[in-house]
Amino acid sequence: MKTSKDLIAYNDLKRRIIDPGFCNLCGACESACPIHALKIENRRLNYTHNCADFMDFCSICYDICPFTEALLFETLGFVANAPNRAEGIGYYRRMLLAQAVDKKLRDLSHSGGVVTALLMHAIKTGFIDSAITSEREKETSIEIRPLLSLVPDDLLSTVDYEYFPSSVAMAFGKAVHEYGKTKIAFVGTPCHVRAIRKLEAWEHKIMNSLRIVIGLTCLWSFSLPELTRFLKERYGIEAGDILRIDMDGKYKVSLKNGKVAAISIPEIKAHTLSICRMCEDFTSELADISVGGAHPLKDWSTVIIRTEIGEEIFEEAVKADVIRTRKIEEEPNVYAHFVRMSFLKRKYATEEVERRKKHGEPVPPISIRLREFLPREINLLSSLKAEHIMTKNVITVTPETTLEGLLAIMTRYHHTGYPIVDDEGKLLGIVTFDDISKVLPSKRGGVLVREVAHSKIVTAHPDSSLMEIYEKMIQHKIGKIIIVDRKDHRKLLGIITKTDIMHVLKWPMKKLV
Amino acid sequence: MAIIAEAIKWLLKHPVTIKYPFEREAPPKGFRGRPVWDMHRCIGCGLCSRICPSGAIEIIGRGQEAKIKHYVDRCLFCGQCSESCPRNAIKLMNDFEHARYNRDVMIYEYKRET
Ligand SMILES: Cc1cc2nc3c(=O)[nH]c(=O)nc-3n(C[C@H](O)[C@H](O)[C@H](O)COP(=O)(O)OP(=O)(O)OC[C@H]3O[C@@H](n4cnc5c(N)ncnc54)[C@H](O)[C@@H]3O)c2cc1C
Ligand code: SF4
Ligand code: SF4
Ligand code: SF4
Ligand code: SF4
Ligand code: SF4
Repeated sequence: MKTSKDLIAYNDLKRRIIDPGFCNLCGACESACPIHALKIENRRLNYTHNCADFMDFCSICYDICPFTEALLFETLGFVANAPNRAEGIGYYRRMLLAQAVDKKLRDLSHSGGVVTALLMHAIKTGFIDSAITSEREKETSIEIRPLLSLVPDDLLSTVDYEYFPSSVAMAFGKAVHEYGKTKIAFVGTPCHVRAIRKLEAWEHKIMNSLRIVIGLTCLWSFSLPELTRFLKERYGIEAGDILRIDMDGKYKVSLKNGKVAAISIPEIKAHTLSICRMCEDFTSELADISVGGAHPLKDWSTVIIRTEIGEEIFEEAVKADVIRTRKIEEEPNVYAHFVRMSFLKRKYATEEVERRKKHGEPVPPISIRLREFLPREINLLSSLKAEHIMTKNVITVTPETTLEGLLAIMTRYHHTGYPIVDDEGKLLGIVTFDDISKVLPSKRGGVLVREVAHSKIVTAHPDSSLMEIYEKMIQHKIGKIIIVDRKDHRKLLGIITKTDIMHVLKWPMKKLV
Repeated sequence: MAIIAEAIKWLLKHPVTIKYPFEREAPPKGFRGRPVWDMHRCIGCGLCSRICPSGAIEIIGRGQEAKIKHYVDRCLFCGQCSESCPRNAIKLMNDFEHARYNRDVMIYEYKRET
């Protein structure tokens, strides 16, 4: 017989998320707790009363915390009917560049100003009645305040605890309960977006008021006190002198006096929040629309439209001449940079999870779940064969394609690896995004695919089981497997990626009643 | 004198009341009638039972196995249960005729059907 203590999710939340330091104060649990037992105060999640006094059983806070394993596959249902999917980008309808027509908005955001323009227009047309974006806390000291402008137009996440907490709680706690809003747009980082989607998958009643979810791209968030201490001790930089931080290979800290300090990724990474170092979602894969920087372009944002409602709000804004767009195909370097960041984040996360496991340090439940299947899922994957799900119309390249040409193909189709075939269609090797990123952009026109490609390829056969294929991917640390004929190993039949396998596992679409 | 004239005038008009129970008027919007449980939405947290001011809700078992007993004879139709449910499992219906001769038949039971 379980005691009522075991039936209360908070106990697990505390043990697996809060105590190991994985809580980043997103505030989702605060807004979801039916008895308001959780409250973020003074940068801590406080447990204000014993929920067992009020509830017999409750699974809520653990289920909806973005760092637990619960409901992960269910949340995919919100985006999974999009026509395309690609590793590092997620499910999507289309990907493009966009900017606010209003220059003021662009200047304010240091990038495209797309999110703000979208929201302003949607409020004007009544598509939404309110928008939840993140607010600063009032007591922020002057010294820290300038760091808010670190909110990057480019590849760095600088927003800290000061600005992180309660974004979700504010959204739903306040907008729904206090202001009675019913058509809310939510803007947040990938973890916030996941929390919102989990609440939606849980069918929490406050989610009836959600209209649209706009996700931001996010590499990491820093612990602000730590980062400022590090910059001061190591570089003599005062927090108040920082204008902004950009990232192109190195983190570039621009100071008000015009100087720029360049700091390497490994050096600065130590000052990110520990949960961020294991976070694998760069592009807010569960959002209706995702918006990120468009480095090296200054005035533009990269936009990924994933759902119908995302398409609707975006198209409205384009038609009303609030937002203008460009094809991302025109800017292969923007695409390359964007995808590189996404892969980098994943790679670092995997390394960190493995490191922690090896040293017996705690790992958040979400990271474990993304690497270990349930028995039911293993059964399913073992029973399905490659031929059931492989993509048969494989896009290929020739050995004589230049890297520039290859990047153009990638920017158009968004796949990150392509089999190389000769004139007769025989398989020669594979070339992936990683191979391109090893060559400097300026040199890519002169380098041919055959000079960088791997000839050693990992293949499987049409009758190989998906479980077998997945294990091969893990063993070789790759994201795609080429399917070849059992008799003729140079006869290309199809390709399977990790996202294809995840797609098989996703749960049927679940929507609010 | 005036009173009699008034009375005669009204006698000739339609009555202001309706002939309940032969005629019924539809309840107004937002009417709080009998609460009804959708057990596919209920997580069995017991919050409704604890919050009910008149002790009209009994919860037997926990989680998915939970059974709800609603004693409509005790219910005030205040709607607190429906307000507090985190998963919108309780809806207030429009019916208002709950009186019976026997209290035992005034208990409604809800169970998850699988
Ligand atoms: C923590 C964090 C990390 C980021 N990391 C990256 C990155 O690695 N690479 C990259 O390309 N871009 C990153 N960004 C930038 C983000 O992708 C840009 O906001 C995006 O480019 C949108 O630009 P915009 O000009 O179109 O939007 P804008 O019109 O400028 O609107 C930005 C929106 O973000 C909201 N916002 C600001 N801070 C937060 C916060 N802490 N939580 C939730 N919402 C917030 C604002 O309220 C506003 O609604 C990060 C942003 C944040 C907040
Ligand atoms: S959501 Fe609230 S009531 Fe439920 S377990 Fe968590 S803290 Fe307790
Ligand atoms: S839901 Fe958010 S605030 Fe609550 S424990 Fe998880 S990370 Fe922390
Ligand atoms: S890196 Fe991940 S966990 Fe950290 S703030 Fe960004 S989305 Fe959230
Ligand atoms: S409050 Fe809602 S979920 Fe909880 S026991 Fe009552 S009906 Fe079920
Ligand atoms: S309506 Fe009020 S009195 Fe009736 S069961 Fe619900 S909480 Fe109890």
